[in-house]
Amino acid sequence: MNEKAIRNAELELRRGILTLSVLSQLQTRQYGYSLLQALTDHGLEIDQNTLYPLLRRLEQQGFLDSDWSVAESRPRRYYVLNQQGKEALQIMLDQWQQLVATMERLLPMKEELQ
Amino acid sequence: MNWLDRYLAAIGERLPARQRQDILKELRSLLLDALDHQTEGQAEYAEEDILAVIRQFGSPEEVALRYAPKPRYIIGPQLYDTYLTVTQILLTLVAFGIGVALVVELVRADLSLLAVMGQTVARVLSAGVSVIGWTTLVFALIERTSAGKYEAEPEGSELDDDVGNAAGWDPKTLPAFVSGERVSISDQAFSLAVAVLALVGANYLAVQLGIYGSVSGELTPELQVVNKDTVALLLPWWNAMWIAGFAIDAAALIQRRWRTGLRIGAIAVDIGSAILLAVLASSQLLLGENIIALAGPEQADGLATAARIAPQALRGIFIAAMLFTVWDMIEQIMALVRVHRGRSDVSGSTGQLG
Repeated sequence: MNEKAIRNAELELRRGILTLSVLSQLQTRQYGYSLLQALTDHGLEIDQNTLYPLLRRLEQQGFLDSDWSVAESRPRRYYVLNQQGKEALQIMLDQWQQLVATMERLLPMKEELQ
Repeated sequence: MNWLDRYLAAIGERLPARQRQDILKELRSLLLDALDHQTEGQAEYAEEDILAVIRQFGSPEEVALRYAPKPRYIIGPQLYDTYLTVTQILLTLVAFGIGVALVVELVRADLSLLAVMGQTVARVLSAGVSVIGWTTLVFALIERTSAGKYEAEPEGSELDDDVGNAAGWDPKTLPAFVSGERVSISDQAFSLAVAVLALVGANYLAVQLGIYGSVSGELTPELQVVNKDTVALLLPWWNAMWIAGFAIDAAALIQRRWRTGLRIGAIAVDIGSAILLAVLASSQLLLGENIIALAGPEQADGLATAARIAPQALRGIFIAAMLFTVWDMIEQIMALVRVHRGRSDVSGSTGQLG
């Protein structure tokens, strides 16, 4: 069995949902580490090296706004969805629901795979 | 300097100056958050905790790369095919040039075979490396400066959008595949090089040796190997043939396809060239009067021998060139026949499908 190819396919599958997952959690403002915790608490394990650059990229693409907060013990950069980000989230959500419906029709039940 | 500062400095070295401070400020904040979590809110951080957090974040190279992905290639997929084509053409031209130099040096008596061979190997290596190096450099510059350059997506997706946008493309524009129409890049490059050489050779060298010498009177008579009247008579025809041949070869190379019109043009040029070469081979028109006189029976020295051999050598070259041209013509005709047979096969098969 080609384990590397399987691992790559698995990563590819997860990669597709990262942006949607991140956008979904940023309707309220969060800083990097709190977002990482929120995602982990919901069962989505994401590498720090993937998440933090992704936040900056989503900001560059105009989906997020960010600001430095100095109210706490140390300065932290907070990210939050802006209007364009909300629209993007809406579109991706629709797409996700269609995908789930399609995949449910498409995929065999686990017991059928024997 | 503590571990955190060393780590951030190592990352900073690898970041673009424009974003460096901002990214490092954010990274420091994120690292401290991770440390708080690691030490469960203790005021002091133990060294092993700091190192553990740094280890989780990964090597400076990896972190810097994630934040500022650089293109990790010299030439991207959009330019790659063109790059290969251009390199192939240039290498063919260089190989041709080296081949010509080799022949010239082999003919010269003052060079030993070993020296000539050594020089040729050195030339192949240095010219080959130069061509590949310079082509790569130029393409790398185009890659990094062009506005529509291929953008490396760190998430590794969207290849379809970047490489070939399906919108606005019509499958009906696909050329009908016929085997005889395929253009070999190296063949065409070789033909172009021959055409340039023939044009330059005839116009520059012949004029240097013949017309120029006899008109100005500066050259001694025995050097006059070309009859200026003959050159004046034949040169326009010669030029017309090679320029037409060059244009046809260049068109085939640009279109990457031998269309029927181009083939017929090439055959016509071949016929014209063959006739011209036959005229040259069957006469002594090209040799200057002085050399013909020198080759007379009363002259017995080395010059006379050379003058006697020269017409035979020239005739041999013309005959060889003529045979080569005739062979090329036969190949062109055969390819034309193959294309038309292929066409009728293709239309036959589509008829069955329809």
